[in-house]
Amino acid sequence: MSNHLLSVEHLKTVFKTPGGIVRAVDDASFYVDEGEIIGIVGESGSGKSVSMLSILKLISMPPGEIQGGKALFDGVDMLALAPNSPEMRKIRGGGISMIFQEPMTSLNPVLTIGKQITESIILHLGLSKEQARQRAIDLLNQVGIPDAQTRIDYYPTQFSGGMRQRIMIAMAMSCNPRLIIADEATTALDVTTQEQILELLKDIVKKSHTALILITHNLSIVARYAERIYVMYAGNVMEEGKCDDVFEHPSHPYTIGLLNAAPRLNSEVTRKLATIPGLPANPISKTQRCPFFERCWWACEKCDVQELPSARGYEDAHQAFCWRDREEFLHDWRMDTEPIHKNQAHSPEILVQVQNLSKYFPVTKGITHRKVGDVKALDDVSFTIHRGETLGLVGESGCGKTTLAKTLLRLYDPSGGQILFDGQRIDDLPERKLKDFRRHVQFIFQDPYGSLDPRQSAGSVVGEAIRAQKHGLSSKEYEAQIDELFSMVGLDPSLKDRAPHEFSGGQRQRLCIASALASGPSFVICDEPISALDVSIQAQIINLLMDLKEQKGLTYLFIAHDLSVVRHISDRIVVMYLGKVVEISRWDQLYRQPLHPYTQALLSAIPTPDPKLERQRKRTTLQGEVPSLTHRPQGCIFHPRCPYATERCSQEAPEMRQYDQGHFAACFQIGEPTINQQEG
Amino acid sequence: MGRFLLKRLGQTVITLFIVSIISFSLIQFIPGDPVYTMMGTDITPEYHDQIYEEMGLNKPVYEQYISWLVNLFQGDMGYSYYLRADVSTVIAKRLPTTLCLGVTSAIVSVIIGIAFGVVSAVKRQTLLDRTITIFANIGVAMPSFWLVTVMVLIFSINLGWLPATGYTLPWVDLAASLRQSILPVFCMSLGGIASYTRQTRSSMLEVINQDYIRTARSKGLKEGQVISRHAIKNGLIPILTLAGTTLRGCIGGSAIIETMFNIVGMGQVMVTAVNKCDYQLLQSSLFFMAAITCGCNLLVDIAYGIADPRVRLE
Amino acid sequence: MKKAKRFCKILFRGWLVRISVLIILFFFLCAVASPLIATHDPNATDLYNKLASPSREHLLGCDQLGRDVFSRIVYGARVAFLVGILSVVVAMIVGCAVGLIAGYFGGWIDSVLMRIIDAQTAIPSMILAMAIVAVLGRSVVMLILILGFSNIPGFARMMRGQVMTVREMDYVAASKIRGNSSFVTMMKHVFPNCVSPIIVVMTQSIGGSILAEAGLSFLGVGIEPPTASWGAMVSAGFSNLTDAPVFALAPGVAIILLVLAFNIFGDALRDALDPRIRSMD
Repeated sequence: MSNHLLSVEHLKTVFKTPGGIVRAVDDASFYVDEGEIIGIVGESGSGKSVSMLSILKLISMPPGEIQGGKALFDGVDMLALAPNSPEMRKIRGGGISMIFQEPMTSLNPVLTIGKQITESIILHLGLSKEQARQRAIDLLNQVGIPDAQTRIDYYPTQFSGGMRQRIMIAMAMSCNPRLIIADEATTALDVTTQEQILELLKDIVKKSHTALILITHNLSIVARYAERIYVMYAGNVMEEGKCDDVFEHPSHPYTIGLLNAAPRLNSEVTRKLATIPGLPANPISKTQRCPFFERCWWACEKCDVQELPSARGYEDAHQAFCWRDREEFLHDWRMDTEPIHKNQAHSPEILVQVQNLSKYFPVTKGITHRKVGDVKALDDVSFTIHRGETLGLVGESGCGKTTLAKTLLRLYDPSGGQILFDGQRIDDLPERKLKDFRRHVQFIFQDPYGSLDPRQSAGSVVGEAIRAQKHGLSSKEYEAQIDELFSMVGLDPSLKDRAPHEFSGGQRQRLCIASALASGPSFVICDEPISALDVSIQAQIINLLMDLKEQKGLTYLFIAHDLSVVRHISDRIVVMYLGKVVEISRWDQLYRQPLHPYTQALLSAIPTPDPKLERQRKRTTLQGEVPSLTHRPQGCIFHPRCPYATERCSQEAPEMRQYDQGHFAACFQIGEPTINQQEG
Repeated sequence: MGRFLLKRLGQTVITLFIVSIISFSLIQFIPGDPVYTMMGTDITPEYHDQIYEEMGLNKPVYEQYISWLVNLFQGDMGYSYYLRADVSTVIAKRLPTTLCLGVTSAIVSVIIGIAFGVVSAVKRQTLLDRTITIFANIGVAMPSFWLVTVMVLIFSINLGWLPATGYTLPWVDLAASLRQSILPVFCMSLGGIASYTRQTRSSMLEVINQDYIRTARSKGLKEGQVISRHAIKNGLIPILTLAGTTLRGCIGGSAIIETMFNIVGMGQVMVTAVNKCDYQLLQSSLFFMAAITCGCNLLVDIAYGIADPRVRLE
Repeated sequence: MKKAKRFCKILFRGWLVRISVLIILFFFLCAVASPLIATHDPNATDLYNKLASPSREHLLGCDQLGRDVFSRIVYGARVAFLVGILSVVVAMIVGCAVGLIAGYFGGWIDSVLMRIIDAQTAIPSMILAMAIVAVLGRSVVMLILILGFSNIPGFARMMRGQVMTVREMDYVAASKIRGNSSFVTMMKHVFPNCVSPIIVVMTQSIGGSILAEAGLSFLGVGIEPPTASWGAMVSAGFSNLTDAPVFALAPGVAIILLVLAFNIFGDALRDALDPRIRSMD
């Protein structure tokens, strides 16, 4: 039947672990045509990566086992081939090549990149060493590695993450494969780098008529790049179809849930996110029932059968694996929730004031630890936070956002400038007086795995602050307070004797929130609290944070690299680049009228989950990558990447100026402000 | 790379300095009079005073230390009263034997141990792997003196194939040297082979699970190529650090092996020095052997830098 | 307690580990209840039975003074356990203190301490131990101290690395933010998270210490005679190898069995405490 390039039918992969059989891929079917870009979307554990590794037999067997299905590539059933047979090896790299997620670990650290690229060229194309080397240099030029002639003899450690991913692309392209699989290839990268890499990948595959499978958890990426998409959940394909169709008429409740759970850049009013209730299906106790049954809003008796739903076809090969017809729920899929009231409640009272704050880290040398220089992680940063507001802080890696957070908490001592909390200077507070200050200020970490002591029970982690701050509490009162905190963040208090590793990522982040709130703080710093979580869990945590803010009258500093999340949650936003603030603005102004070229680029780099809108958007792709802090550019720190940079930008550093009520930016190229420079 | 080497060189010098203090202070802790302890109490007081002065014991401690160190660098390592010879002569005569045996054993342990370890890791969970693992475990637990006992019992006493005593340097009589080397080298290296096997195996297993191995497989390389080109180099880098310890172990182990096979080498000299309270011989040879170990560690670090671009490019 | 039960299940899943524990328990029984197990007085000489072959009366024969080899092996377990375990405890206490200080303070304190540890590693430990014995005289306490001393580097390096890793963990910062002092943070969060690797290194070092004690006794600088020590027994047996091979071999088998058992148990413990392996179920 098939003249598809690759067609996978009823693939089943399981892992036999001591805890039980994990059904990682459970009857998944999909296909790719010659030269087509398809997207496979799903959260962690959905089986999207495992299905790709399975068809190439790259999973480790045992514990993995492919229990059934077919994978026809060019008419050859790959599943029938032995993992290391000559036929399979010819397909690997020659017919299908892969780009993996972690650019830092996917290249062999002890071999030069040239060796690693030429290796497959010699193997599959049968070229001589010199020819292969020339081809590798051409490829490196093509993927935008400057000075490829020399750099081909460099080792992977000498490249940044983005560059390594370019090298991976060169390697994947090296033998003219007919299909490239990009497995979360940009997840570990900064947004502007992510955009560069995806654009490059798209251009290259389109030019060479190579097919591409984009595997990602990010719906917006597939909306921008894919032609057809598959949505996977718990090892099953839930929905498939043309990109436009799926985004316009999502026909499976799970797809709808995912679309609603992700904050959008383009909505006028922000509303509360509609979350998918519950936790992702456990692949161990999985039965033949529809895997989304327990979390589905529209589940009914006819879904509660021990049989996987069959496909329901809609327009143009669009189909969903659901027992119910989409007509039964499609009319209210947007699930408009209550709007969020922003910018109204917060008082003019200033809670946190940061003035000209700097943090330098000394660079030392030799056994005497002689200081030879500074890394300026924060350079002359000023902003204020009003009581009751949420200030969003965005920037890419190395912009100093975490350093700022830790300096505000005095985990680092500032190198210069002032921090005022509630009118009181805390930047020069001696160590012993910090305890009182820290009762009012708390922190939520990015990594819910590293921030909970694995040796303490959940209850004692949460109760620690109560113990440390309030003395003379009876154990009954203490337990009662812990129970209250648990219920507040939506956890069952009976779980408090468990160890942190027995909780899922989202639950752990709830624990972190509970323990941060234990001391009754008025100001909470959230350092990328959701970036380690799955989309459906992210929405739950965002809603929880917003509810708690309202209930407790909290003030937040919300740090993230994802502008759509920041826009959703914040009242005002600060944009940072290489340790400096480049723009401060109200949330709606920033998106309506971004001033600084960096902010503009950042906004345009972020895709939205809406393919039609994506096609209309005008985009400015930034060149280059974020420089390292040790090589800070002179003048305006952004000028080497700025499309509007002039001579002046490379010599003089611009000051922050006010352009509109509460809208500040530091750039020479946006004209003279028309507003009085007194703070508004 | 240059800075890295310089740093390691500096560290080695400091380490050697501390070693010299340790070796020197040994003699300071002797309870009672060192000369009587060394020569016995039946010498005449005049002779005692003469030796006391010859050893410089009448000078303050720091002066003794400095003159010992200065002499050491000039090649004068003191005088052995038991062997009635200059320590430097004794070392010059016996060091080749110990080094020959030690270096051979070290090389044998490294090569065989790594080979076993790689095979064991590549064929993990098979009968071969299990057998190798069990033997490696036993090898680590086996005291070398017991192994010598068994080997001598079988090959010298019962079968009479190999000599149980003596050693000839290879450039004196190669055939005899080889025959005499087999038992001592085997006994000295078995422990090393076993621990290399274990370390290589676990290091290789770690590497085989890395992402870049998956990348290599996804390129379509043969499993053998994946192992030989991508896994082994990475897997052996942590093993390199062990190479320094191996030589140290062989030198330490030479005390037992040389005593049992009656080989006239540094190990035996040091045992003699300890048993006969020959302090100058002891402190100088102790320092000398430690210096050799430090030198080996430095060489290992250089090799480390060459093997691992991450270190070299720092 | 469910946790302990699950831990034991993972720890004892291999048959080798179970046998190892039995061997350790057996020798431990020999050490604590030697008079009940031994068939003879270990120090009673009987010149008629000099180097006698194994018989019903003397299960493993007699040594060069006519002492019962089996009984001496049973009593030898005392020395092995005493020296093997106590020396490791000494090394653990000193080594961990050094590692903790070096890792926590860093800077030049770290540099100095680590150079001292390097220096100690550079000197062949067997020879150094012999030299110290020669200078300071021999006794059980001395032997424990010397062997403990030579085990310090392993503990110090491991502890230093561990402290440096744990110190940077978010939960340590979190503890400070919650209002805990540095000392409380150290005791409550840093130290407990370093404990499991220490236990593993301890178990793995015991075998090495038993071997080292045997080696020193073999060279005649270990336990003072006539106290039974396996190493010294092999040494005496080696001198009479042609006449009484069993006498030389049997104590060696005891050493191998006990050291092997401790090593296998140590490996199993490491695997069971490794969070990567533990999280698999």
